Amino acid sequence: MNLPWRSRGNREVELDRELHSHFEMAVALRMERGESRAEAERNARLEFGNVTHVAEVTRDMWGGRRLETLRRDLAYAWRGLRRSPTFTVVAVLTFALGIGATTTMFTIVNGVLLRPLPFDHPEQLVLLSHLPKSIASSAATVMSDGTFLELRAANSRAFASFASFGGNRVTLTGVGEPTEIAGAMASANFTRVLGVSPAKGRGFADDEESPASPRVVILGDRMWHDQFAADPAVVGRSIVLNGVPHTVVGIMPSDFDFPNDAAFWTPLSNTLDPKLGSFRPVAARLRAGVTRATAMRELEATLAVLPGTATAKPGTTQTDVRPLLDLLVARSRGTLWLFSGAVVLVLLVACANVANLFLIRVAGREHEIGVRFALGAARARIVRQLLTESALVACIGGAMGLLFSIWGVRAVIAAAPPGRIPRQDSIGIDWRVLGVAFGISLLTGIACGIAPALASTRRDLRTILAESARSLAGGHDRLRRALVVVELALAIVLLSGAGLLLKSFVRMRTVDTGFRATGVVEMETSLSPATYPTPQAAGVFAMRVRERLREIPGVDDASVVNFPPLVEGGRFRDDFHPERGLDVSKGYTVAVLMTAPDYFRAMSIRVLRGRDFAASDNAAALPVTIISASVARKFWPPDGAGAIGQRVRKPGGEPNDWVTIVGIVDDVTQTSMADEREGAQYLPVTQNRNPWFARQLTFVIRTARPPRDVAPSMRAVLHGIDPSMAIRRLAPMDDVLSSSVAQPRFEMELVTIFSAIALLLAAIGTYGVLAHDVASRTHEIGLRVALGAGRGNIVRVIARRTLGVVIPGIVIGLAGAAMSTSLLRKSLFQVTPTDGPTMAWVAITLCAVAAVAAAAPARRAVRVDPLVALNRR
Amino acid sequence: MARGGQSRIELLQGTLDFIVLQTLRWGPQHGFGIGQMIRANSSDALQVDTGSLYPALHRLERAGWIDAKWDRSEKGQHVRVYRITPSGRKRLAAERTKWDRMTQAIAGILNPPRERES
Repeated sequence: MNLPWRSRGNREVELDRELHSHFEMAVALRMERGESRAEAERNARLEFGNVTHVAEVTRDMWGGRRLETLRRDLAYAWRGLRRSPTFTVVAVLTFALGIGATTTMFTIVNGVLLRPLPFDHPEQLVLLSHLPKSIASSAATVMSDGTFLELRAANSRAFASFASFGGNRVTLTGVGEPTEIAGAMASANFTRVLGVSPAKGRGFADDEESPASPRVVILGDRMWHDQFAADPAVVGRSIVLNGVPHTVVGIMPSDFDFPNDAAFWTPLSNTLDPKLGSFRPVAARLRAGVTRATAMRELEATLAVLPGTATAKPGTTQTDVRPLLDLLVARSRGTLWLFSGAVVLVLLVACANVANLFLIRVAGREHEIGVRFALGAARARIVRQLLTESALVACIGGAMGLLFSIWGVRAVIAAAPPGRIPRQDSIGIDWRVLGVAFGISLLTGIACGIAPALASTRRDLRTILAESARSLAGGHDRLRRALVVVELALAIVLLSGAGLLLKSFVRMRTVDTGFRATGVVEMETSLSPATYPTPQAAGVFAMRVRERLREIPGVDDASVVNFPPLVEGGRFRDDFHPERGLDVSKGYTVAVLMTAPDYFRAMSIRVLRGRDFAASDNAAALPVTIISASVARKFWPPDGAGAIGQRVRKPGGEPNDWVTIVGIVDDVTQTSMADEREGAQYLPVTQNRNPWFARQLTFVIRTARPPRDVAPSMRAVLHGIDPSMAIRRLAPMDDVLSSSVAQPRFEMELVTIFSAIALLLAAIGTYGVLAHDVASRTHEIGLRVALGAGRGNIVRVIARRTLGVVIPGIVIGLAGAAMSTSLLRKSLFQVTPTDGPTMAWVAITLCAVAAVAAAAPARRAVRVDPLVALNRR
Repeated sequence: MARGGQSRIELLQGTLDFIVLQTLRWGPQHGFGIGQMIRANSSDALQVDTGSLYPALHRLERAGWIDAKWDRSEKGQHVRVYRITPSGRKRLAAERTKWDRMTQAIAGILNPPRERES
């Protein structure tokens, strides 16, 4: 027997002895007055009252009381939990799942979106943008070079300094095999603007921004380790980038990663030309105490008077000042919040489930609780004890969830397409994650425990002791069913999201791109201006490689293109200007691509009219072009047949440079599966005179052989012609296709996993209610059977009970889905957020799962033996 | 909490503390003794139940107005004996003044110039 105060510290023993001596004295006094011992003891006990109660209220007066109570409540809860291991394990695991998923997402959100950048006073760093409204989108935070230069030269009270950034892919030679490396160009003062200093060496000097100054480079820690084996002597040495020697002046610390994944930095000099009109991100440091709103007002005022921007009509431009972090995370923010929302729903389902478990548990303990009441415990005391129990379960689950989240974070990052989760170095468990995990555990624990605790202590004492546990179990029935309805509704919301994402993913996968990827292998290269100074030289090189690729056994077609479909990157687009035709006055932009003969054959793009380019379309021959079907139809309606033989202005050429249309091909998807197929114009690389058009070349081959058998020969061909050329990418085009839908796939997969968890939990909840229903109504069912009810009747009763939760769950869930799936709009492709068929499937799925959950209880119900059931009481 | 007695008075919150301190002015006493003394001195009108007495004693002890030590009773039993402390005496004096003022005030209300109704 474990009396509450025995053997627990001196104070408890003393209190015990003190009360005992009081009792003894009372007995002694009564015996002196002539009562018998037994009589005296009985009366003294009556007079004394409830020992447990007296001890408890006395202990309440001691100092340090709260901790002591907590300790005792915890010990009590722990013993209680150990007595019912099944309940404990299920509840803890459910919590672990819910809290683990939540902590996983929070760890990532914290690292990516919430942690400040590791720069000096990061709150002062902002990202400026100023764009014509016609090309502004929420994702673009850039400014033209011209505006940047003027802004930097102007006096500012709000901004202390500015720095501009740009991407820079180069080929590193002279260190092992030629390698393509992605770095960044940055204003010479970028280290000072960000408030970081190189780990070794120095930052750029201001005059190193001038095109005339000697070339310098700062290496990132990763590149320093990977390419130069972390040799400190590399500082001061010369390395060759794109064929040009650059002196290494510094090495950045390992935690410096800005912009994302830059391996090195060169001064932004040669291209910082106000007339070129490149748009780049611009970072600025605010002076101390200046708010973003103030900075915004000043920026607008300044732009209104700067020569380059003052001429813009008011209202046609869009100016913005955002936190610098946006440059790194803008693309991932939507996805991360989407996941966070999904995970919160999972957590809610988990909570509802555990609350249900607790309700069942307290229903079985009403008698125990009644006895504690009878022994004089206050209601608040019992409620507190029950809450301690649920909070303890939640905290154990939370601790497991935290461990689970360590694995979860790794899994999510591994599943994410490259570059979609930036700042991975800053993702980790910190005090904030720990605090949130603990907070969620405590909160969910109390939330799950409060309803059962209140419900079980509300009933008055006599009823509890008088009634049997069986009839009482029905007391919380409505609450428990309501919880299951909530679970099912939440599961529906998640399932709808998953269904919509799945449908749009399938739509995207099956979209007709106009080309056939299977069997195509792509080899992407970039030509350095030092080796190939003229467009003609690039054209000759491209044709030579193409010739040699065709000789590889098993290669059916070989060709080249500057920007293959679905590869992100700056495609050229230009106005389409026919010599004669409709709509000349209206600006109509098409993608301009550089190709060679057999490109359409290799990509299986249909040639609808006319002919493909031929080797004879050389620099001396008539300049030709091929256009795609939608362009032809647009200018030469109705079917575009009239286009053949027409002349159009050469893209990027002078006004009286004309090219003749010799063929019409199918439209193809250009940049993204989510975009419509668009109009394009193709030019032969052999007639190219624009130095920018053939900087990047992707050789494509079609083969029936496995890509990995052909790839080595392709590499050998390229290096046979130019050993110093780096291969950016050598991969089957199917890979490109799947990576172009990697983001939607990632979103779809994760939301599907979350909704599967939610559905599983909701199924467990449904099962729990029905199983408990059957168990507590065995008597009734037995009676029905005895009175002649058939199996069908019993099954109907169970079915009715099931539908009683499933139908409200579906109705509420679909209403909730209708309200919330519009948040998904950005992630959907050719599917509306309230897609009927998807919703129908979701409802059917839920019904099916509910039917499975109901099957076992129903089977148990029809097997009830009336004799056994009726004899039980 | 009055338990069934016909003429027992339920003690106001705080009054018990005052009575306990007053009782201990007569000398150190154990819990049972204090209960008996209160009962005797109030001619059985006040019966303090243990569920109120012991919390009060432990509360006063914590406040430093009384202290306690283990001793033996005249019958050789181990008993916990309480004693009023100097600060307890000060407290008692203050309570006493307050109490006197309050009883006067209440008496004033209950005994208006007019004759008492039967």
